[in-house]
Amino acid sequence: MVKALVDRDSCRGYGNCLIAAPSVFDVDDDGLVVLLKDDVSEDELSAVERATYDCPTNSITIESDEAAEK
Amino acid sequence: MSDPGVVIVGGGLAGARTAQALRSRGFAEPIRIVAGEDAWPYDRPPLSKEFLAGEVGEEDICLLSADACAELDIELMRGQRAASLDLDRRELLLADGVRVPFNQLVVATGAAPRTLPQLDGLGNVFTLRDVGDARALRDAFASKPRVLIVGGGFIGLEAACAAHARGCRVTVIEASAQPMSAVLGAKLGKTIGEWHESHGVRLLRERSVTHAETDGETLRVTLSDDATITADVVVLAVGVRAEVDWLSGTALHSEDGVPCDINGRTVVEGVFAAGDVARPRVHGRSVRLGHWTPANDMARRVAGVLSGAEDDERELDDYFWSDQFGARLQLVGSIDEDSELVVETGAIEDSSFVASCHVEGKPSAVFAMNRPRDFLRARLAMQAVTA
Repeated sequence: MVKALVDRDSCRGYGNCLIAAPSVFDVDDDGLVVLLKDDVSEDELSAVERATYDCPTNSITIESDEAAEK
Repeated sequence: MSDPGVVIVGGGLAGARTAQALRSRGFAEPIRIVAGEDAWPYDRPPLSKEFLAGEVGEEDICLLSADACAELDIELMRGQRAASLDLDRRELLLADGVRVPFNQLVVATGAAPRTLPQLDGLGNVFTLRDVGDARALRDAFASKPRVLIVGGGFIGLEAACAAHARGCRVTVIEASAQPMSAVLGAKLGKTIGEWHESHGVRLLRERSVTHAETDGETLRVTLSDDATITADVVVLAVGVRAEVDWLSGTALHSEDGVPCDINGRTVVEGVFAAGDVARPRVHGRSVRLGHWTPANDMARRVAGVLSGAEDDERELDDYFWSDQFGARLQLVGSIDEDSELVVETGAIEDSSFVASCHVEGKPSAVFAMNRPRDFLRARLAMQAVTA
């Protein structure tokens, strides 16, 4: 399992993450990123990678489980 | 002879992202970026927004640092301008005479601001494209000058906001009936124009520059209605032209940008185009998309083709945003002046709404002002319909 991490301080609400991976990301009424789930399934991984790449403010990172447990 | 690998001409978003996406796909051949500017690749949207307003600095907008280049084994040749291209020998010629061989080439030289002959050679006249321009303008705003902005497109209007935020008195002149109308059409353009006027910007519509003179400090600019405007700083925001001069004499050359498919393929085998210089077909039109998201999307597609992935057949993502006087403006698709604009949520008079355009029963554009969440719902729905 891997986790998606979001940085709401740097997020500017452009919304490309939601377009790339709508099952993992949403935005609040201010347009800022909200994480819908902590764990990313294997099926969702490529979409989350796309969201990471598509974010203009580099506010999304992907963390593998081993790193998360440390 | 060593493998020349991929050469990317242009160190902006499209160039940097192509290189990064190639490496993340495990592409193992050499990657070399030839960048015209001395700066390490940086993100351009903040230049006319937070950077110009003095809220962020150069360290905050870096796209590809020296460390990242070293880690990814990307060679960045900074301050090197492409002069011409020899497709027979598959070599790029630089302005200083150096020849750079390539297996595959990515054209990502972007665009350069247009200027006006009436203002050529006059001091205190600025364009806004690269970080040097933005730095100079940001410094010029510090003394709270009277600012005249020529051109009411999104760069001109964002510059107006930044200047206003710095305490400058701002006049914008726009040649057509409404600002932003080339992108948003006249009706939404009117809404945006009134938004600026309500925040203290003086907006003169259907006016252009006929003459300008300076006493060395202050500019006197004569308009098409014979009015004269006195300004300490003039910002030229009258659009851009594709940086294609170095391609002249090749099959790639076209004044309007390099024609290509949605995966960046040009008419020349092994040569791709991405970013503001590219002219792909989108929604049936061959058009240059001068925005962040399509440049990023094309870079990803080009990297995919170069690393052997299947073509991405989805429509290019032409999403565009702008921030003006605290309002987030967002558009996807293109607004057709002849089709009806339907307000889906909110109200135009409240400066908070989502509106859409439909052609043949399908959404062709969604625009939002200050409705980021509703906009994303509509953008997702539109993507589902047009996919």
